[in-house]
Amino acid sequence: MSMDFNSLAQQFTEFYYNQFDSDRTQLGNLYRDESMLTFETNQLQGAKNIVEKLVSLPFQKVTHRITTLDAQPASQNGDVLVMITGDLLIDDEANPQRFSQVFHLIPEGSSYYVFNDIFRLNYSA
Amino acid sequence: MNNFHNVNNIGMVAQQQNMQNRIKIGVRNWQNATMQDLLNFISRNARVTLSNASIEGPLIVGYVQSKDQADSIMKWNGANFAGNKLKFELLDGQGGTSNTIEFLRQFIINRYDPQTKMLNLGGLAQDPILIQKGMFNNLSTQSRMFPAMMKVASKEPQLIVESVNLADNKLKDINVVSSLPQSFPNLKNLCLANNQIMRLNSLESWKNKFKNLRELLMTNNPITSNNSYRSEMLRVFPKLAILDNVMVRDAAKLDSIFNFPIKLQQFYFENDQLGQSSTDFVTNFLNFWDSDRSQLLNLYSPQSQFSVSANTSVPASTIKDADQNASFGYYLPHSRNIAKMSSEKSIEQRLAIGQEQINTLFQSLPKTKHALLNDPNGYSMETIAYPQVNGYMVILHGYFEETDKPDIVPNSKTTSRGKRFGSHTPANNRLCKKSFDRIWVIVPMNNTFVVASDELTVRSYTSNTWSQPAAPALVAPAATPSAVPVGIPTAPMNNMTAMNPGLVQGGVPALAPTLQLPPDVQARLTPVQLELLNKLHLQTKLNAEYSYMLAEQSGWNYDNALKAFQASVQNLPREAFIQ
Repeated sequence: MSMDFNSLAQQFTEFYYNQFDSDRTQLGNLYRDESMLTFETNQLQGAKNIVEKLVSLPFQKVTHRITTLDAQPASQNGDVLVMITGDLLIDDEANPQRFSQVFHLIPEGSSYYVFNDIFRLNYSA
Repeated sequence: MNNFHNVNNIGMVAQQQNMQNRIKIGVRNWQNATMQDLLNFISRNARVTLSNASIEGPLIVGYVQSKDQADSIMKWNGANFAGNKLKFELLDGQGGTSNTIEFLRQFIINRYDPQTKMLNLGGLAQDPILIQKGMFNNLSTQSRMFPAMMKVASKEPQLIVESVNLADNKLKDINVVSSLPQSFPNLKNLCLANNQIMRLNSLESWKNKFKNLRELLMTNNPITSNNSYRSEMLRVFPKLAILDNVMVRDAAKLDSIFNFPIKLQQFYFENDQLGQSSTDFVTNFLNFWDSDRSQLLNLYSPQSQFSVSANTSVPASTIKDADQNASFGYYLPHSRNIAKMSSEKSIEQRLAIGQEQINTLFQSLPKTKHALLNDPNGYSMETIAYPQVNGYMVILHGYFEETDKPDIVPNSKTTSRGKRFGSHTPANNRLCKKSFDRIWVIVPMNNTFVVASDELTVRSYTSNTWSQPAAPALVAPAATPSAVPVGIPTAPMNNMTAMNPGLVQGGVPALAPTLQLPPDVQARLTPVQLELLNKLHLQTKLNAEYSYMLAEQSGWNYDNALKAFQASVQNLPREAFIQ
């Protein structure tokens, strides 16, 4: 393992949300065929379906703001579990919504992909 | 009681009636002459006798026999008497606060229009009745009367207030009406026109407190000429769509943002079996978490990990029981928030590994009480398979009550360090309700299972999104047989099933776990009746027996039942409600 899981979690989330907020059509290479997105009531499998779902979300501009980030190694194989809570700013709306998200990352060569992505918009203000 | 019936004396009854109708009057500024002079003056000029007169403090107090007589006297307000201007006041018969409350109650009911659901508190200073009562004639009475009115109004269940008019009240800020959101958190329309509100931050204390305010009218206030006025109002009122008759947000779009793209669902399990085991797991786990955390340690292995992080950025909520100034003092010394920490050493230290460290961290968090059984709607859960290790992940969202300080309080021993941590002062360690998210990774090991990972995030207590979509349905005019409280998704590829201990599937409506009907009663009821009963039970918090009685008495009409409930809620015994 070249990188410790804390830095990995930090770098991954930074990259992920930047990519999501600037151009979410390009998120596909973070998922694989066996990847699963659980987005509220929807569960989608495979990079293509997941990206389609994310792209179809009804907003133009979106900004993720991380409030808390915690990570733990999830197995001997180098899996990492990342838990994030934060604010979601949609279009020009100044009042954020609160989300929580869990990523289950799995190593692949020198990199990682998202095996499970569980997203909830769970608390109102 | 019998004596009363035996009296049979019409005259006496009539006299009693008179006593009840008489009106108490107080007179000020009479002191330059005697009481008898004053009584003569009143009798001569107003042609009314002030009976049973006496001196009470600065007042001469007496009674007249009718409202007409009182009106005649009131006309002499300001009359010259012995070099002074007389002041007459209508006093309540009993003179106590209970009468003031009753007066305000009547006043508010008179000012409420059930058609438009509007409470009109405009131009109060010009209201003849209030002037007569001397209730709104200066700033100090105003500052008392407004909050009193709000309080009285919020206790009237028949007042369903969607709009409030506060126009023409010479308000310079919202200080005297600051309690408005507590009384009417679901207000949709608010009029503050024709006041003197000037400063841009005048409405700051209402920020995020009106969650559903759609329209605001502020015309004819100095504040409206400020350049940042519009953006400020948008900031303070998250759902404001119309400001001073101008559309400032696209209401449809706003709805789509707030209702988001998806239907929110309380429970999500990849398959039934996972659902059952994870429900059992969570129930048992939280039981021990609340009673004796050390009992949980045998679920953890030497490699297991636990960490906690505190999300302190969520603003205080207006939801009932929300702490307006939630404290995280017990959590912050342990909070493992990598996004905010720079010290790699702390990041490492705050991850508890193995039973001993995990136990220490468990004991360092406040004692809690979850309400999984009493309030299942307050919790939401997802369970996801983790095939690589043949395990699963359980994610739970919900809330808990902090019941006691932790067994281990860091830094209390090392007082020298205490000063550096301002957050550890007792005042910052108040116990309160908190919301949380928690994920457990559960893997099989030696014929049983262990918790491999356990991450907890706490935040100030806020309302949740999953139980909110159901709220409008509860006040819908009629029970719709097709509506099922817990959404069961039908996506064919996923085999998703909503699981809930109280949920019966297959055409029968899901009943709340707290609605426990005798089987024979339940068997007699049609699905529509059961659903109505469930809805009524959830809305009124009445127990099964009383919910049933209410439904029965109201001819199984939801609207009538709710009205009947509102009319009698004050008189219901405590045991009528879910305990």
